[in-house]
Amino acid sequence: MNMSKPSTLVIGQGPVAEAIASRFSADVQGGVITLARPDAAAITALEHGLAAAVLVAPPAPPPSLFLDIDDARLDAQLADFTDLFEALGALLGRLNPKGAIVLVGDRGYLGAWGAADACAFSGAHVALMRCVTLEGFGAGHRANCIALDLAQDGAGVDPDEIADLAVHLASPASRAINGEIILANRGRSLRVREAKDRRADFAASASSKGPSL
Amino acid sequence: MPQLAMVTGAAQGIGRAIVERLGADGFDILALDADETQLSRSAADWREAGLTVRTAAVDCRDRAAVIKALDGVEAVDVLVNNAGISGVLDPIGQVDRAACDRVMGVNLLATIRVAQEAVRRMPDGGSVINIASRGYLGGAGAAHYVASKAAVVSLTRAMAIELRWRGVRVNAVAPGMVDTRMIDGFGDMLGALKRMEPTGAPANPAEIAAIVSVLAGPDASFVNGQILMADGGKSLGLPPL
Repeated sequence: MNMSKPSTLVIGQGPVAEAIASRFSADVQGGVITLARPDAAAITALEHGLAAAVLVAPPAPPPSLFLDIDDARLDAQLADFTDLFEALGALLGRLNPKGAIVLVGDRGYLGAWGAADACAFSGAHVALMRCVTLEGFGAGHRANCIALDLAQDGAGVDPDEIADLAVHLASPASRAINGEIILANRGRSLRVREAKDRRADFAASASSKGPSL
Repeated sequence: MPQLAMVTGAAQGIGRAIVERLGADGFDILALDADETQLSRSAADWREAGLTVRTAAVDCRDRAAVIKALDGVEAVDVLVNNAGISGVLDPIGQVDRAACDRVMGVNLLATIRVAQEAVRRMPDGGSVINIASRGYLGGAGAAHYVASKAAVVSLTRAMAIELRWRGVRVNAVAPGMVDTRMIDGFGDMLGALKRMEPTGAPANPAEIAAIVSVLAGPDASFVNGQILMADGGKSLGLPPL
């Protein structure tokens, strides 16, 4: 953990988390603390209150047909979710009045082909953000969600664009925005990606027939 | 030959009403519930009423137990994923890891595992109905429950997108307050919460079962990937009567 003049906490790994931490370091007064993973104990142990926190959810697992999703994959996603759940609870205890939380997730909550489990957990992330919004009203906290494309959408993401949005949502300039989900994919979700004949995919899936054990 | 409907969380409340409604609709029923005692009591009533019901005492988080319950079943025509728990009602910072895991395990992971094993045995024209909750829209003091039901909603959409190509429809019902044992957990708040219902009272479980009946059958063959809100209009912000 890197700590100096704590003001903003950025949690997560990968290019998006790195770009967000970099933008806060460059543009926002006060220090930036980084954590590679949601860690409730580390958050609780912070010396100072936080003006803002950005959590970048772990990336969704690779695409898998519904019938091919195994228990190990489900258990791993549940463990990640519970880490995030605990971290959000700890964050509400460390956030200064009128502080902001930004959760960077993905668009899976809307549903997607070959990602039923990831979509489910994406929906859970969005719901958590809404609950945090409601529970944080009294302290003037805000919480919002940035929804990125799923990896299988194929277009990728510009981490700097997401960092711009995260900084905006964490700042008082966006104080009218609360409990919202911002789809940050340049409008790609308007394309009807799922309207495609998928019968061949099922023919290739051995586990689509018969019991799994 | 009658079609088979598989219902989880079948022993009481909404699940029991669904068993009775689908049984009256002519389905044979495979009824699963973790509460063996209550399941036996309900099964006696069902047999007396002339329903054809096979029961299995199963914790649906346990995939092997679900598969065992399906032993000898050639086709599951309808699956109703109803088993669910609300867990403790506390602010997010006061809910421990075990409580969160339990609610997500029963409400989401079990739903996925049961659906996988049922869909493997589902013929063309099959229907999956997941029981979510209007609470998926968000709520203070129940973040793990809300997250689990929102997960079921998103799962429903993703399953519908994918399983359409197997000829299987997937929809969800999102009930508001229903008069079941689950709402006893509200304790002293229950009276006030009932008064906040747009109709002035919770729904009867049979009302939710009636919606499931429509979604299960051919009258809803063009309905897929939908979340049917059954909350008396509360999600619209309607005030009580």
